This record gives sequence, C-alpha cells and structure tokens, in this order.
Amino acid sequence: MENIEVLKAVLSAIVYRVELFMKNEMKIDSEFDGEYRSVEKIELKKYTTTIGIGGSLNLLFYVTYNELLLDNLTRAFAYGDIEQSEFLILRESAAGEIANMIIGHAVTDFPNRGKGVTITPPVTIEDAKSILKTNGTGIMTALLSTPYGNMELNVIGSAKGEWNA
Amino acid sequence: MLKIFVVDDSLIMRRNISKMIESLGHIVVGEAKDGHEAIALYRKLAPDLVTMDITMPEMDGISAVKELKKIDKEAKIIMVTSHGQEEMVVDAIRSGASGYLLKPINITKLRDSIRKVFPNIIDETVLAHKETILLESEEIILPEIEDIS
Repeated sequence: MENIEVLKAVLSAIVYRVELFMKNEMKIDSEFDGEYRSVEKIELKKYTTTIGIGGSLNLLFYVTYNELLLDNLTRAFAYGDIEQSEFLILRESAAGEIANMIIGHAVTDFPNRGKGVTITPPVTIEDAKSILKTNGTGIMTALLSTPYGNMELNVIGSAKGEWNA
Repeated sequence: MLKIFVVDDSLIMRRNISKMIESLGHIVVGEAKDGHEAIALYRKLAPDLVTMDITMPEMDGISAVKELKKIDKEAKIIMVTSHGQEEMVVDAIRSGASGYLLKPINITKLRDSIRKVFPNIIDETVLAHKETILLESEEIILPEIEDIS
C-alpha cells in the first residue's frame, strides 16, 4: 500500500468515527463534504489538538476547531452542569479527550485493522496559526461542517514510498 | 455504598466519572492523573473499587494495575478504554483487572460495570426504584384510612 493511500485510509477511518460520535454522543449535526484533500498547508483555527499515531504506523493527527464549536462540544461532553469558573479548563480537557476517544475508536478501522498501532496522549494548542508541509511529507485533510462552525481533520505523514504492515 | 478511586489523565473524564459515581450514591475517595499517583495514594485511600484509564502519561493503566495487584491482590479495578484497545484490555484483565468500561461513558454503563464487580451493591437507582414502589403502595392504602375515620 502506498504511503499516500495510508494517509487517506487513516483519515477516512477517523472521519467515520467523528460522524458517529457527533451524531450519537454529542447530538450535533455534522456533514462531511466527501472530499479528502492533499494540501500544502493547514490553516489552524482557535483550538487544535494533536495525537501521535505510532507503532506500526508513523503519523500525526491534528483536529482543529473554532471556539463556538468547542464550547458546544464541551457542554455536550460534560456530565451535568458546568460551573462558569471551571469552563475554560474543562474546555481544554474536552478538546484532548474527544480527540483521544475518536482516534481510540478509529484504530480498528486503520489499515491492517490497526494491529500494532499505538497512540500518544493528546496535546491541545491554542492560537497556533498554521502547519506547513516539508519535503516528502503529505498532509491529507477532511472538512466537517456543523451549525457551530467547521471542524478540520488532518493526518500528516510520509507521502513517498510504500507501507508494509 | 462503595468508596471509589478515579484514575484518569483527563480532567473532564475524572470530573464526569466522579459526578456519575456520586449520582449513583457512592463516594469518590480520591482522584489521580496517572499510574504513579494512583499507586502512591492507593493504601491511604483504601478504596473498594478503582476506575483506571488505560492511556496515561508517566505510567499507563496496565502497568498501574500490575503494581496495584502487588500491593493488594484483592484490589477491584475497572479499566476505562476506547473501542480500539481490546488487546490492552485483555492484557489488563490478565493482570488482574475486574472488568472494563468502554468510552464514551454514561451513567448506565458505569452503573452496570460496577454491578458486574459488586453484584449485591445497592445504588441510588435501586433505592429510587424502591421508593417509587413504596409511594405507589402508600397511595393504595390512603383511601382505607379515610374510610376508617
């Protein structure tokens, strides 16, 4: 399997899990436009969470969303009411946990059923601007729209050569 | 009523699980954000049950289970996991975990996982059900009391 195809397959598995998660757990409508784009640069929104996908694969996952969408996800994800004083810190935590859960569930749909794949704990960054492609790297992007703004899912890894499970 | 110790690196998960535990009428005796903290606090807290995340920095949940079982071979531990971590769950069960809970967690899933480990435990949902039955039976009795007077 070519590496660029691996990026697309991994992203496709993630998109599927995000759609399920948004519909079944968050009760937020989301719509994938159906396109997997190979891009040179990712323009990041207000909040971005990254997770390393290692072991038998070697990729980075980035999900980036705006403040309004993340606010609504945080409220939907939290059990019970959130005190105003705890909202900001919970929002940061929710961004990481949601990404972690989605990747955790998507792993079984990765190439070779995700056998031997490991994932790192999530890291969330705020107000970062962009990520640029370097030589030999591929960035595959998918866009999901929601009533609260778009969510962009990105997988970064080697674009050249072949991957052997 | 159980004394439960919540171990998870995610703040929102610790909060959600703790609030659900309290809604079920149990007590959260402590929280830890990784395996090292869990081991350091376990003896002091002496919980009846531990909920343990699998993927954590510093020391992951599986290593923590192995260490906790060395401290207390009777320790009851429920692993908190995502769908794609079955191999790790099997590893954790082999290491002594009592069960697992699949994310995303809701109160029903949590209650059912606790009941699998403690089949005779009475939680708030059981008490609420008993109260409803009691109230219904009281409503039936009331007219008889009026008749007597």
